[in-house]
Amino acid sequence: MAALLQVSELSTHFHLPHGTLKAVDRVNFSLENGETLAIVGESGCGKSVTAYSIMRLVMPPGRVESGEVLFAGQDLLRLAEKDMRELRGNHISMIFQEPMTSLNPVLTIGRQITEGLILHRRLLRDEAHSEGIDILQQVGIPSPAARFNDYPHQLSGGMRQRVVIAMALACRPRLLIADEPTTALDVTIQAQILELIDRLQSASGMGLILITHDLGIVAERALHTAIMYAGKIVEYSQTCELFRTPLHPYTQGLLNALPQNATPGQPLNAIPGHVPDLLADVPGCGFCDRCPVKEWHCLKEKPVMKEVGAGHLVRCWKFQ
Amino acid sequence: MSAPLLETTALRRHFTVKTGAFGAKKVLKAVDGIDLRLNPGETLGLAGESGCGKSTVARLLMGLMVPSAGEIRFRGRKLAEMGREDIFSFRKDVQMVFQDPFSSLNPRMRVGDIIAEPLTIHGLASRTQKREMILNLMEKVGLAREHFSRYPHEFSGGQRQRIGIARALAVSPRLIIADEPVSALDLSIQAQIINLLQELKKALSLSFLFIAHDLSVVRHMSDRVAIMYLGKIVETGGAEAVFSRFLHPYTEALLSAVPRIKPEQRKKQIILQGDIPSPLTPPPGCPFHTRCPYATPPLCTEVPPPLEEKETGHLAACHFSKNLYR
Repeated sequence: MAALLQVSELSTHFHLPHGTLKAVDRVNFSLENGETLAIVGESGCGKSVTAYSIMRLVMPPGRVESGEVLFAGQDLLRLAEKDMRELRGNHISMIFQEPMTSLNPVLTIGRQITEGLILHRRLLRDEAHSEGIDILQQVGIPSPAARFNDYPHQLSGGMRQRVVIAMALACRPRLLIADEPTTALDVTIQAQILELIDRLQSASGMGLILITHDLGIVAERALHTAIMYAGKIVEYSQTCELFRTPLHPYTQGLLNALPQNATPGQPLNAIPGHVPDLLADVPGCGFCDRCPVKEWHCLKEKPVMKEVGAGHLVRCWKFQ
Repeated sequence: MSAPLLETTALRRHFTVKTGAFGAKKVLKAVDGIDLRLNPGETLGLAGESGCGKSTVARLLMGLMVPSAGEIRFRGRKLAEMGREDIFSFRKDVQMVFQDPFSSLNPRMRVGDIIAEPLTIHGLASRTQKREMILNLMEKVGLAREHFSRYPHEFSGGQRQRIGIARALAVSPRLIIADEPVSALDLSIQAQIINLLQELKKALSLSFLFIAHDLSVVRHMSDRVAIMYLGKIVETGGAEAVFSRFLHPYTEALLSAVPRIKPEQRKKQIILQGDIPSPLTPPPGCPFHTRCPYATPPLCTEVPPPLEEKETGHLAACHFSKNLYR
């Protein structure tokens, strides 16, 4: 069976006055129906731009330079804007980080949920209304009929994120991209929202791309995980394998730096230095100035992705 | 036991809020009767979700806000009774590190001047000494000499937090109040700043009030912890005791909500139903009863549980502490 989503050699660059920033640099991954892929990385590593590129929402000065995004067999990057609009919010949906800014403050939540239903599924206003209330019920909003005419500011952060999820799922998408869906929420609310996404996913069998910086969230739910650093995927594997035997020094560093993995009172194993400036195109490995095991050739040449175990890929000279 | 550095008794801060244009006035109890005690050289972690009042506590302790009731004592002296000069020296002894390294530094000032400002205000260094002192401080927090005359925008989040820490350290404080100092930082940088704070604490025998919502960070940093919910402390005690033998269902839920990396540490999550109630209309009885899986009416819905010592040095406000599933 063909994959639901097949991303190959995707590159997105930002053309800035002082140079070209390679936000996403030849990224490859694929996703099956009903599967969850996590993309993990720190701010500026290109994980959100990857999502925007798939959705074709990259704005100038950004531009998708090359690559292929096959969704159910058709290349999204070559679709006409009109056809893409047919897909967006219909077969592919996205949840954004900020429930505050991803809702329109001057429209009722009912209006915002039914918009997609009327547009994509050609429902009549009344049908959309009752369907909308159904969806609000599914995402766990208490007394949905009364809430239907509320404005976003009348809801709490967690409730707003439920509305955003309801909007994203209204047209029963086959692929959902969740970009840091719980970062802005409190931990107890985060647990609620993640459980909700899990439940809805297993009910509908959609594919999920979960973008996050929180390794804990990933460990509990994604089948595969891709670790991104400086615009590239540096390690890709089944999640349990990745946490058991992380191969890339950056992945190892991230896991070692977690307070959960340390003895209280003892210093944490921090990764020294900071994320490199992507404008400066270094000849060698992007991680080498922070890497504890670098060697001379790390500075000179870029490593490529190498399959080490079954389905475990890593971009590091140690394994070339 | 040594005399506490900072102590609060029945500390309250209420705000009057008008609801709507003609609405009735309501009282928001942001901080509602809190007893804290911070010993010299100790780190007290204050944890809770947004809106629980932890930042209001920080502002009260800094003297940036006047309590509605209750008192704050610093080295045995009441804050409310201090004169101008005493307050001035109190402000030198207690410094703050803020959450957002982007908005807490003046974008028009150079790094050197930012760190120098508290020294100038408190008249602690002559012009000639000042530069040397600042360079020393910068070295201590891991900034390079050449950063002296740069502007904040030239730095990453982690480095800006280092500037903020250097500024707080400039006047050799006894207590640092750190309000979510690492929550805006990336994971790999977070560990660097946590280590820096730990090192400084040891080297300068500082005390910390460490406010955070990330329990794994709080556990790592703190000697003792206090967990807040809706303006009240629901559990407090030694860090290990609170995290491994919690006595309040809210602590249990918070801990269970932290996603685990290691599969063997994973257990059935307790997912709390509903949102945090509005502090404007707190529920009667135990403030947590609306979300508590153990709540039993009528006791929990009618009688607010007092914060009691359940084990030595370990206090909790729950009627059913003994029944928690652990």
